[in-house]
Amino acid sequence: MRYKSLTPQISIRFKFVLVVFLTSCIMIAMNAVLFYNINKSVKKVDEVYQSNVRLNMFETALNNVQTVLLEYLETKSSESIDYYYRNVQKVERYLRDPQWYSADSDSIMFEKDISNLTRHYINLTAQAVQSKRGRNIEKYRKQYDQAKQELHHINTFIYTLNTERFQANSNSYNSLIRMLHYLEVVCMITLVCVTIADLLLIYLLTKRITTPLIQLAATANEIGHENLEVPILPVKSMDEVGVVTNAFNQMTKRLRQYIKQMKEAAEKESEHKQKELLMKNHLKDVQLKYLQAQINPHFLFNTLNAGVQLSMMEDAEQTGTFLEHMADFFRYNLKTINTDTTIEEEVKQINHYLYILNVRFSGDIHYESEIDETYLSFRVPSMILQPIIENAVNHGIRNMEGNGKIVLRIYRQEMFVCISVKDNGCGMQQEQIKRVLCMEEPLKESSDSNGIGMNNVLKRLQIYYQNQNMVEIKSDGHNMGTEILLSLPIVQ
Amino acid sequence: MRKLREGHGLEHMLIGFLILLLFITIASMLFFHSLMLDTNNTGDITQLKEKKHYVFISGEYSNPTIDDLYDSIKENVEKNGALIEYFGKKLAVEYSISELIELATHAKVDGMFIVGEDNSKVASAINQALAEHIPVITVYKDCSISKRSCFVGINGYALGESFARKLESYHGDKEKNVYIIMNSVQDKAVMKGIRVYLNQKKEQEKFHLKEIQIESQEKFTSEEMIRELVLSKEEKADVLLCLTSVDTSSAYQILVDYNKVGKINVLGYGTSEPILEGIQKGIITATVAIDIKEMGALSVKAMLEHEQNSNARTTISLPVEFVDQGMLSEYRKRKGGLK
Repeated sequence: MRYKSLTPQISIRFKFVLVVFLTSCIMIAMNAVLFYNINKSVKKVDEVYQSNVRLNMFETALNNVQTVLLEYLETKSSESIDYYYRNVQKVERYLRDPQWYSADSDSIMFEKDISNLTRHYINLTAQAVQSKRGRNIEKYRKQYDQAKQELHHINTFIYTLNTERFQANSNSYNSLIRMLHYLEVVCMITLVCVTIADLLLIYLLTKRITTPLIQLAATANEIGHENLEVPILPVKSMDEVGVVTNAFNQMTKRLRQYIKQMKEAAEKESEHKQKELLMKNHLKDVQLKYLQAQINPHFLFNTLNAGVQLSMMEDAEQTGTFLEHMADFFRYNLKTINTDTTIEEEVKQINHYLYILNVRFSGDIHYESEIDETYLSFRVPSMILQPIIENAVNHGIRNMEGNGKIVLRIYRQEMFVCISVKDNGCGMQQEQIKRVLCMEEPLKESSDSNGIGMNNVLKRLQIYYQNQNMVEIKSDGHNMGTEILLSLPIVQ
Repeated sequence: MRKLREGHGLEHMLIGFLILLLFITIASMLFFHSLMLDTNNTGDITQLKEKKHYVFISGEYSNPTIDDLYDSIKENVEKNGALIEYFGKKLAVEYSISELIELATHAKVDGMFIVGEDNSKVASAINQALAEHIPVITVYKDCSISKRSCFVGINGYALGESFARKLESYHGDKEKNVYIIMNSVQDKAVMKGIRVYLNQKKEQEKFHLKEIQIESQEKFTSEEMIRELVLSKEEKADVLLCLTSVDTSSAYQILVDYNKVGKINVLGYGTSEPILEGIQKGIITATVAIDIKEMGALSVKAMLEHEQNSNARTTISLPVEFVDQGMLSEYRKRKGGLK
């Protein structure tokens, strides 16, 4: 069972005030009690011998009675009789004094004895005075002697009582002194105990305040070192430290939640990016397909016009062949526009294309091919060789003098399948090559192009292989011909 | 503990401890205060003053029998809610019994228990006290010549007879010189009792009775006379008959000191420890055992009777009992039990 604090809502300031107040109250109360008793004891010590003093004063008064009686009997002076009565009154006052008797049964009998003997003595002296007034010498002499004798006895009693009282008072005094010593010891022990208890109390209280602070600091340090897996700090009381601890706990909790949210958001973003990339890919794919769809239909019509013209002129087998190539050419175009294809198919397409061109340009274009047949089945994006050949024809050899020649070579170089299209045409400047490769300046498409220019080929190759440097254009200058080299990676 | 500390239980315990400490301090101070009050006060003064105040007067302050007697009277007086004072014992000056009676009369005490003496001064003082309406009970020893209210003790004549019986039973085989140490006038009654008994038994020839009168009541006289008697070459004592416990103890000590054990026998009085030791050793043949407790109780009873009725009994006698070696252990047992 957990011990519950009785004062969970008390603030630290109030706790300190409470401790100081409580300990001070205890100290003050103890000191008050101790001082009260010490004062009382000291007063009592002062009073101890008062009974002896009173008894001595009584004895003196009694002896004075005897002295003035003698004086009166000798002189009969009014002064002495006055003194006599005054002393008698004094003696009687002592006897009537409530403090005359002590509360001890042995002493009280002695005090009663002295009291009654004194009254008897006073009677004797009074009788002597009366006899003196009656001038009966024998009588007052006898009465004086009796009184003297009686006084002697009383003095003996007083002496004894005085001695006894002194003895008793000495015992009382010793007891009081012992008690005072005892009091001193009690005071010291009590004060030491209270001081130790106070110190312990303050130590524990401050520890209670500082322990959560230390825990708080340690935990904060842990969090500072990016360890968020710290336990929730216990809140034992709702003082200032409790409030801070609570706030800290909430802060840690929020921080944890925030970091979790951040992680989740990052994960989502990453997923989103992946999706976006996928989308881009799709888009590119779409773009590719779109570009493939951009093939200029004019070429088809022009070619068909040429076929029509040929058939009109000769109405012969060649026209049929020509139209067959035409048909194959367009069929290929229609068939492969959405997908990739093999090098073999691409080569066939070139054959069709060059046949058509040679028909168009009366066999001016000489075509040679060196093909490593191993790679005929190598898959490539469709319609990549035809635009290159077209480019070589249109920009390389069409406007040259003499026979144009195009050489197609397919071979392996390291991990690439290399497709080289080389013409012996007018060649290209290096700057022009750069611009073409950077797709900054598209080659001017002729009106009878199939619509797929070099740019399109380059872009499609980049998207398909995710590689920038696949196309190389080599030319040694004007009229030195051009070589376009495609290096297609062999994927294992 | 840990849980406690965690839950601030220790602090609460400490606060509790401090409060407890405060209470303990206050309690101890109150106790101390009450102790301090006890130092001087033992009772209520008015109540004490109103109690009856009796006095016990005796001239024998060193006699343990008398001390026992006083204790017994005191016990019985206090049972009746009165106070008693051993009058004159504490005084710096030693007064005679008659002077003490006079002083007690002047002090207007409520009654006197007196270990009496048969002399005129004491008798006169007793009579004076009676004239002041103060009842006077003589106890242990009487003052027969006074008008004392009552005597509580052993009858001298009867005691004499008892002594004679003991002489007869212990020493009746041959003639003996019997010395009787007489301290007071009343001892004559004892002497008379012995003589009458022996005459009746016709054994007066066998026992040569000799009275040793202690000449005065001055102190140490009897001890000196007993010593002289024991050492005397003329007087050949066979039996010493002591009528007080002091004389008995003195006789026993002298016999031991002067190597007279077995030569002189002692018949004693009183049962103080030295006397019982003498009996145990066979030096004292027998001693009169007085039931002091009973004597004290009867004295107080007599005082109360006389306070209510001045014509009450004037003599209360206690039976005479002897203790000898054979009865010693039983007597000690009885005495121990009584204590």
